[in-house]
Amino acid sequence: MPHIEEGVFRSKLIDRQNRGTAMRRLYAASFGVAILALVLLVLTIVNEAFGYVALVYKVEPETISDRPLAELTEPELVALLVEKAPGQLPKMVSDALSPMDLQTFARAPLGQSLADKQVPAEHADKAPADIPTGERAAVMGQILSGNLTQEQILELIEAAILQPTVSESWPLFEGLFNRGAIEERLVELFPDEITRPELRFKSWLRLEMLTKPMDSNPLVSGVRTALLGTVYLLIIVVLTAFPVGIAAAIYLEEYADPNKWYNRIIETNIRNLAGVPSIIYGLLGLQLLVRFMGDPATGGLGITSGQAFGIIDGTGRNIITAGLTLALLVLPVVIINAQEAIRAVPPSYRDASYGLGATKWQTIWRTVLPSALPGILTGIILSLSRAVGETAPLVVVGASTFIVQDPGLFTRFTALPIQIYTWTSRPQAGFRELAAAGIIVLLVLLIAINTIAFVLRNQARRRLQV
Amino acid sequence: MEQTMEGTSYSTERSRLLSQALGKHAARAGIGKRPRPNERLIVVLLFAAGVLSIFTTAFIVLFLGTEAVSFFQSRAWIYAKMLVVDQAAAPVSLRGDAEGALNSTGTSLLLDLGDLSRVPFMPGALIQIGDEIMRVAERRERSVIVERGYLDTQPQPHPPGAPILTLKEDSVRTVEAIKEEDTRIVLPENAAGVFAVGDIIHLETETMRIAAIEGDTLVVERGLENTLRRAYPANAVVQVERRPTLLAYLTGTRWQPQTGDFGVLPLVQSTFMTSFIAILTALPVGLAAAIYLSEYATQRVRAFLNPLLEILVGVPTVVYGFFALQFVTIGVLRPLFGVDIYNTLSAGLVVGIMIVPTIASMSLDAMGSVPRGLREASYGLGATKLETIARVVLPAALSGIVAAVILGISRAVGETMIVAIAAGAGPNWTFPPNFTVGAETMTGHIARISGGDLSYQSVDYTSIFSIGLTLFIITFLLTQISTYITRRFRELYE
Amino acid sequence: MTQNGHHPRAVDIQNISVYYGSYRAVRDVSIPVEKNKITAFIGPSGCGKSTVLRAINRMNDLVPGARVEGQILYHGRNLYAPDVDPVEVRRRIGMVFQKPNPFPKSIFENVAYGPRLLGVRDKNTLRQIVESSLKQAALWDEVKNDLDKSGLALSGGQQQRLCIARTIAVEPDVILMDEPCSALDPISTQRIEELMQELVSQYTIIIVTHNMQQAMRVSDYTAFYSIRKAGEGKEETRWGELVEFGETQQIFTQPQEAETADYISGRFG
Ligand SMILES: Nc1ncnc2c1ncn2[C@@H]1O[C@H](COP(=O)(O)OP(=O)(O)OP(=O)(O)O)[C@@H](O)[C@H]1O
Ligand SMILES: [Mg+2]
Repeated sequence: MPHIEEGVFRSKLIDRQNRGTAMRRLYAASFGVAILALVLLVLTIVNEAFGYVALVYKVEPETISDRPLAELTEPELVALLVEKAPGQLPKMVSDALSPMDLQTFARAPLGQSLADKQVPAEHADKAPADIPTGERAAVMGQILSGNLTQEQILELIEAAILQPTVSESWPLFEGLFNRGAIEERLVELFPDEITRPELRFKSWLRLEMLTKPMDSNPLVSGVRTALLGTVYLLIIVVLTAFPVGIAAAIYLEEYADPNKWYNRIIETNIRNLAGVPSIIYGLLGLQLLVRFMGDPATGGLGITSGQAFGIIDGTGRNIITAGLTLALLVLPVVIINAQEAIRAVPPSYRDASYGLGATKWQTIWRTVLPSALPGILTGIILSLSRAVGETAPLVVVGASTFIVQDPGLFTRFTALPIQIYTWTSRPQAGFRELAAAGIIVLLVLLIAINTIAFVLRNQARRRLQV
Repeated sequence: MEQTMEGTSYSTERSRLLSQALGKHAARAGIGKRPRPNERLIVVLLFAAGVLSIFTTAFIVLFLGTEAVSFFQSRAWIYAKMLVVDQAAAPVSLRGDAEGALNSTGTSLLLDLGDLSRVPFMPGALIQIGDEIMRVAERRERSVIVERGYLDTQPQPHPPGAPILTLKEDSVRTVEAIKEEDTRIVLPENAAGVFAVGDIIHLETETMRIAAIEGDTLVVERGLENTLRRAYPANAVVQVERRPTLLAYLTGTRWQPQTGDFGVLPLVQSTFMTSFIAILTALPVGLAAAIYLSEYATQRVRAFLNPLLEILVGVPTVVYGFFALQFVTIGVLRPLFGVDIYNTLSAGLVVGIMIVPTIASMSLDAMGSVPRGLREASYGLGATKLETIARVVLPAALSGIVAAVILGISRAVGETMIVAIAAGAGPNWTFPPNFTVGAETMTGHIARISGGDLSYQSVDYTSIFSIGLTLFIITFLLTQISTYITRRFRELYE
Repeated sequence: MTQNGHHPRAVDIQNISVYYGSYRAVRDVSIPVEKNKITAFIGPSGCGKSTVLRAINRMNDLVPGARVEGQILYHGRNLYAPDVDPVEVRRRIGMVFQKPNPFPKSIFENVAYGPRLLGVRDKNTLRQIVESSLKQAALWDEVKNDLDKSGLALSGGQQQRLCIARTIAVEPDVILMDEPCSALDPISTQRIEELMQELVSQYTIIIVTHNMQQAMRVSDYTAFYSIRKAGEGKEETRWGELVEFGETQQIFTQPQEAETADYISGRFG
């Protein structure tokens, strides 16, 4: 090394190596950012889904009983119910104990509507409507205390008589680490110590959420209707997008001559569609499915709104149009993934099948598709996950924000992400927390779908291999 | 040979079994063409499934196009407004002492303190001193800052104690009753300046066209568009027609189609603001991730990191939106920088996180297709890994990375829920762009407006389709450019 | 050489040329394939042995742009006549490939695949067919206890015998084998060769091989192909041609053409 002194060279080299190591750390740190974002995301959701609330009661517990309610016995609690909310008792019994809706329940003999429950023998053959108004509450109370625990009755009292609403709510970590400030704030809000509500821990994520419909009171609101909506949407997507998508993929991979102009157009077109923003699909669904194929009152064909099938009041803003919109949306993803899976099937399988005298379709159906199945399933997981979380197109085709009845095919509907969206944008205390709880439900659903599909895929794969 | 005998019996047995199971005819029919109607039908069905996607595109283009056209044919009727002196406002005047005098360039009005407390002088309000109209820019403790010479009036000096008139907008109303056969509409003083010859106006439901303006009188053609000629009492409100023009649509900075403001720029601006922030976030993170995965990570590490990116892809956007609002805005940006509750910064940051996987995986592809030979040449010359990446791999993969960025922008532009939740609920044009305040993007606007039950004939309905078309064109061009670059890049190395 | 008419022919290849697009890969090949005999195709790589072989059961139809001129007679009918159904042809002229290619299904399903295609549904019949095919392919004893195991779980030699069992399960007339032993070890090769000897009493076999000894050991007739060139530089075209066809004995001991002699003695390509 005549010109560069050995020492200089080496120190330069070490310099260069050090710089390399530093940059390497920096690159790796990018994943730190990604992990951090995910962790923060999860923490934010947990932080909101659990927390502390100050409840104010429409009727203060002290005003209906001298002793704390929790200490009262079952009969005493029932007596309270009968005294303070006699009119609501049949509904409570019907909701808590009978599978029937209130209308049917009122007209059916108790022995029948509450078949497997404790019913006083002398009333078993009477319907609630037959019992004289004066006695009805008492009989209902008797049935409640016969079938429910003290805690359950306490809950009923809380909902029917005390009627709590959230006055203020605080996220979990604030409640855990900054309790003092919250207490101060409470004192500020409720200077009168007698009426000051106590700070309670509240898990907004409740198991009853799954079975309770939406409610304007965040304390009792559930996601049942939204969850059902989402499930129905998924079913429609599975039934429409998957067969069509896989069929299109088979056509493109097995039958289409890539030199034909129309096949090239189809191919390019699918790739372009995959890049179209989801909200545009919403507009497509709104115009094509909701407007033109929807309500005849606004010039539609009455197909998607149900008039063609005898439904009278369909508007076209329903599960079907929303589901089909989502199906159109995921179709390109399904096709592209299925194409890749089909392309990956070794040509030797095809040769073997043809060599045995199989027709083209027999070869595809019996050899190509089974071999491509794991890959196709992977694409399906992707697109199902996408369909579950997709919100914008549903908003555009007109998902409702507040649905109490279980949705039917032609009724108004809502879906989980829509609920999360509306709850997130509501200013009243309790709704953002509810949104967080809804998010947890949504994420659990997503994880469930992915797990099921993952297992299915691995099974299919194992069947193919040894 | 015994073996052969056995073979014979196997074969005969199979032949027997086959012809038994299938009937003689099926087992050994000739090799002639067989009709296979099922196969034909299947091909037709498969082809139909393939063609369906063409219809999807066709319908998207058709609907966005036709509704956008009807948007540009739509009209909004707005009340013709004129400025009048607000008689109800409390009388105020410039301060009486010498300091109260205002020369023709000063912008600070000194008022008596009593006056200041009585009159709000909200920013944007118009006031008149003498013949000059001024616009209130800011209200200070002892004075009011104004912009001089508003609405084509000339800045003039004003003496101390000059009375200040508060102006307000008022609808233009007719002065005299109009009979069925009249063609002249008399307006209050100065009101005719609001109109121009050729304007289409409405009195109640009757459409008229201004044929000429004579002083304060409009000469009109009446009963146009088959509307009924009627008589009107004095004080009838005059409405004037506004139509969107392409120019107004593309250059206007206010979006309020119901009241005749058809400028899409505020929506486009905030869309690009959030996308800009998003790319600023996602590019370094995504590119670094791609470099790490492609050049450093071992197989094991990769098996751990790839799913991480997949999870980022799998999180529903509405959840990201929640995160943007609850954590990024309320948890971080607001305490630190005092931003508005809705702002484009937070939405952009989270959209950025969302598109990191897009950028990472496309960049990874790009770097993966840089030929080994190039790298080896660089190592062979004694370059370190970093130097090889920076001087050889990245430049070689540059166009692929550019394609990734463009596709990322396209994703960001089309993203809806994050911006709908976190960016704001009203169009807002800010210049220079202000990232700390709320502003609705194109997608956010469509989502909000379409949320209600829209009447299919309303301007709102057609307007979201025209915005949709704009959005479609933007994202389509971006994806096309990205695909084009990617293809060129591939051809280079394959 | 056989004299026309004396021996029954399974397949009579008459003057065929095979094109891939506009490229004429093989020119003017004529081979009378005798029934219940083994005919071997030998020749240097790229001379078109596989191409001709695949022309016999119309597998080349599956290659976009491939086309055959001339005729191949099968039971007196031209396989390339417009009214012939290639699917039906492949049922009668089965094929075994170079790389063993069992389906990713169970051993049973692999063998039952063909009968199922034909429309056999009865489980019992299928079982009998599978059993007799596996026995005839000399695989039964090795797999009879795990018919539900994946075909891919077998060794290469077993896989190839499975493929043969799969082919004979539909009772073809002719079995085409494209280098069936090139991916196998010597022992497996020997078993396949023995198997061929047994099968030939029932079927006509055409085999492509690069292994001279194999051709000599198993075949009754041999067809030797070679590559021809014309033109220079960019203009150069190559195609395959049949150089010589005859009884194996004769081809290997007294070749008529010098080129054949060069090739079999290893002085060639
Ligand atoms: N699908 C195809 N498309 C175009 N050309 C092909 C195709 N298959 C084969 N060819 C060409 O036809 C010629 C003959 O190929 P073929 O595979 O028949 O040779 P081969 O004698 O079987 O060679 P090998 O001994 O290597 O298997 C070659 O030049 C080859 O490149
Ligand atoms: Mg070959």
